[in-house]
Amino acid sequence: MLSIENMVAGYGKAQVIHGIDLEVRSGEIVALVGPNGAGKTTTIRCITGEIRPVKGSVRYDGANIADIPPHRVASAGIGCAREGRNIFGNLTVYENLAMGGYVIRGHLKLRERMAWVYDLFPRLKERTGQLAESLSGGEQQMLAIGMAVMNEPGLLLLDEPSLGLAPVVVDQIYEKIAEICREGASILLVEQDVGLALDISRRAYVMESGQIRISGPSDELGKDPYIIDTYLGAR
Amino acid sequence: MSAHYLAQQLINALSHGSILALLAIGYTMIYGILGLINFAHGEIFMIGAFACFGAVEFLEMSFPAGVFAAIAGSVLAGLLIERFVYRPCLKRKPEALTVFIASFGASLGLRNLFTMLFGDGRRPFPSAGFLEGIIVTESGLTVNVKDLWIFGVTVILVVGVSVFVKHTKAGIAMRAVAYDANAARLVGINGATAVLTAFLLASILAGVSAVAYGVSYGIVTPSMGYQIGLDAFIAAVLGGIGNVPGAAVAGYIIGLGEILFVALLPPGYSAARPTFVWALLFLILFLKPSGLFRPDMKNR
Amino acid sequence: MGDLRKKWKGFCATLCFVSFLSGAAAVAAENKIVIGSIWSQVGVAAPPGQAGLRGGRLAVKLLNERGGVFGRPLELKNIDGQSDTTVISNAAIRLVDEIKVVAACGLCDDSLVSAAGSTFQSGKTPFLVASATTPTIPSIGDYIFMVPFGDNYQGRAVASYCAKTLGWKKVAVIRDSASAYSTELSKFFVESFREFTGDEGALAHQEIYQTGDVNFTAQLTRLRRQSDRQRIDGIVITPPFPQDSPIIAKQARRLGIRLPIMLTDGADDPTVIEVGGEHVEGALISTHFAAEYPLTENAKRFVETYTAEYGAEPGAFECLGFDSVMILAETIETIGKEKWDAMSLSARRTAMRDTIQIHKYVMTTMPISYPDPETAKYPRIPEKPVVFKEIKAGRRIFRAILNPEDLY
Ligand SMILES: Nc1ncnc2c1ncn2[C@@H]1O[C@H](COP(=O)(O)OP(=O)(O)O)[C@@H](O)[C@H]1O
Ligand SMILES: [Mg+2]
Repeated sequence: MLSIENMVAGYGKAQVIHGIDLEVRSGEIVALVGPNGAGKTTTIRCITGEIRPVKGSVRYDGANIADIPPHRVASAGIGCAREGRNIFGNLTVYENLAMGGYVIRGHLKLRERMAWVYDLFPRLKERTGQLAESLSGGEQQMLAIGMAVMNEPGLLLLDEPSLGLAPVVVDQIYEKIAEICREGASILLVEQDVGLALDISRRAYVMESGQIRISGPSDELGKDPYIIDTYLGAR
Repeated sequence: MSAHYLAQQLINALSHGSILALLAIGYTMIYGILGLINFAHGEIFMIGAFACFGAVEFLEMSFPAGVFAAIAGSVLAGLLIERFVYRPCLKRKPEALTVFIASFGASLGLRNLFTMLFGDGRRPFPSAGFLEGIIVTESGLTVNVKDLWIFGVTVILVVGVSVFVKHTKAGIAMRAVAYDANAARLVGINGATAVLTAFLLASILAGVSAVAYGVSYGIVTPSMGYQIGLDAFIAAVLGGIGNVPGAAVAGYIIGLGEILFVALLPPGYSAARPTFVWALLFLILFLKPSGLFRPDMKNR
Repeated sequence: MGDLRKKWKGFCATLCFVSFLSGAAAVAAENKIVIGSIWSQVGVAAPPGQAGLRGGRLAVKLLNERGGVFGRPLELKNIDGQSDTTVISNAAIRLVDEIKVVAACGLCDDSLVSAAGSTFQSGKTPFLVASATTPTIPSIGDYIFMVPFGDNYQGRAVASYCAKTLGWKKVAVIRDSASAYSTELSKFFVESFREFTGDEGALAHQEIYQTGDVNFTAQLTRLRRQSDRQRIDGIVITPPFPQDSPIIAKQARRLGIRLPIMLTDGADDPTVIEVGGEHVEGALISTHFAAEYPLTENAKRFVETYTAEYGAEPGAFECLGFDSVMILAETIETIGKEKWDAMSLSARRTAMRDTIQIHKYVMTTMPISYPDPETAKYPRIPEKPVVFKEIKAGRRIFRAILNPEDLY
């Protein structure tokens, strides 16, 4: 589905990603974890087309998408909820979802998807006419995810959906993520909370300083002494 | 102060307010979407007036064709300014001051260019017979047919653009780009298209406003957009910059305010009218920095 | 890049060469007599400025055709004042210090003259104000003279025409508060109008605007209310530049105000009719000169040659420009060739001032002379007749002339 090979990327002269390989297969949740500043968000930006990799390839369904602009990546079937609740505060919940489905053609299809998202997050339905900036943090994250799935993406990119949320809310959201995956989407989940990410994902990559330190099935990584030491110690 | 006198002054403000309202929407939309004050908007307006003047006087087109020429002239100017001034400038992610200078420079440059090409005398603006009638009511109020036309067309355009921005997919997308252009690209909205749409709409309204100005005051000059552009910009701020109907309402408020400033104070104060508008701006920024209405097109 | 630099060098070399050539030309033409002028070719003052320059150029042409001054060609060096006080102020400095003219002329409106007047005065270079009429202008100093009449006199003439000829008893005045011309002239008018009607309340109403305004409806609506309340016979507008009055007239007519309109010399320009169209029909204008009513043989010849040269009849500002240059030429001729050749630049300038003060000019379109500065209330202003025109069928038609002796 998604395969990244030997990708090098950065900002201007500052190289941040030093050649990584990463794969997401159909129907699985893959976690990308690592400390702050490791380059996880940068990796996501390379997939969405916000930044162009210096080297290497990003393939989605076999086609190289490394060079196409973000607004085309969206219509190619990749949905993304960016780090820090990527919503339009000046639009209502309804309008935000409509924008999430911007590339959908046909009114019926849009309605259908909207209904699906409202089913997934009934809270959003209650707030449909409300301005997004007036929602609570959890509701905003639900909206961000709702927008990302409007277009029925084959691949969903989630960048730290748990950031700044109360544990109860995080649990609710993770339930929904699992549900979205069951409905057929593949998910690349970026998360700092390694335990949480390993629990939900099938496979995981651990990124440190722009390189993949370890990767493998999540249950195995959960038993890896290095991972336990470095990331799960607090548990 | 008789009601009759006030009513007449109110009528006087119809076309002036409309001219400001149409222009103010342009400032508000472009500020909303790009976060910059397009000082050259007054020149987009001026170029529309010249286009209409040229089409009717030299190409001998009919007046309605001249209106379309005005719109075409303004749109051309607007799109060229976007393409050759703001797009290259914003690409470099410049400081706010740099953008301000680019914007101001575009305004000054166009004004000077037109002064060089055409001289800055006042030229007579064409009009049409159907606009020239005068209606006198039983109570003696004088209503010019052109004022009714201008007001009517303005209301239709304001409602149209407001509905467009508020309820159509393209309009919502425009507001989304205004809020966060990067996020908008991620959901598949082409930011460049949204910016062009904003310039297109702003310029169309400027072209219509130019015709309204020409018909009302009967003149075209390269500097005609300067003072009225500033007044319209102030209206945009008053209306809560980013709010389309707000800008229109504020346009009428300023237009009426200017008229009443002259009408209600003794004649000796009339000359201070431009100062009054600036004082108003200062007061708004002081008391209610966000303007009277809540912005729809708001930068994050 | 290298190519560009080469081009740049080439450009500089050409520039040096050209300036060298023109320097050489200046030496060769030592016997040329150079006078200066500042007439704005762009900006609000462009209509009178362009007209003045056309008149001045015609005078130079006629003079050179008959052999110049002392058989030497006369050259008029005009600097475009651009209706901008900074530009005008620099132009004056250039004319006095760089180009070193013996004398200069031009400019309209008090505000613009103020920017140049003191430079000419301190440079002891005579300056003839071509078309500003504010009578306090020559108080800048004894090198500053006016070619047109003063507004004390124009105001009185307009008052006389309104009160005596038209029989107006009450008037409304509209003036531009940003212009000293407008404010002073309306004051002079009101003073005399009160005197002629013997009515302290003869000024029924007054409205004010500012240069650049385009919307006068608020003022005009108030004027209309006043005219509903009391008798008003006409509106006198004193516009400093031709641009405002047609818009005021248009908006007045559109508000249903049918009162007759009297304009002053700032409005004697074709722009008024072009912009005002049917709305300025019937308006009266007080001014300096009417082509259909030439007062002298010179004036007749001026109208003929002007019409042949430019294909249109001259207006008042053309006439004033023409007379300005004629006065300067006649002054030099009056001083005399021998004396002139023996004099230094500063001596020539001073001699010109002294001559202008006492000479009675005959080469101009009407006799011009200056009153004794010791006794005159406003020195260095000629007494000249005031002409009245009416706009009829899109043309300015001669209506009447008031001579100085008719007024006092
Ligand atoms: N816009 C940017 N410009 C320059 N450097 C950046 C930018 N964004 C992130 N970085 C740098 O890139 C590195 C990786 O950042 P990021 O991908 O955001 O890490 P993570 O998401 O893993 O916390 C960090 O060192 C960060 O400072
Ligand atoms: Mg991150």
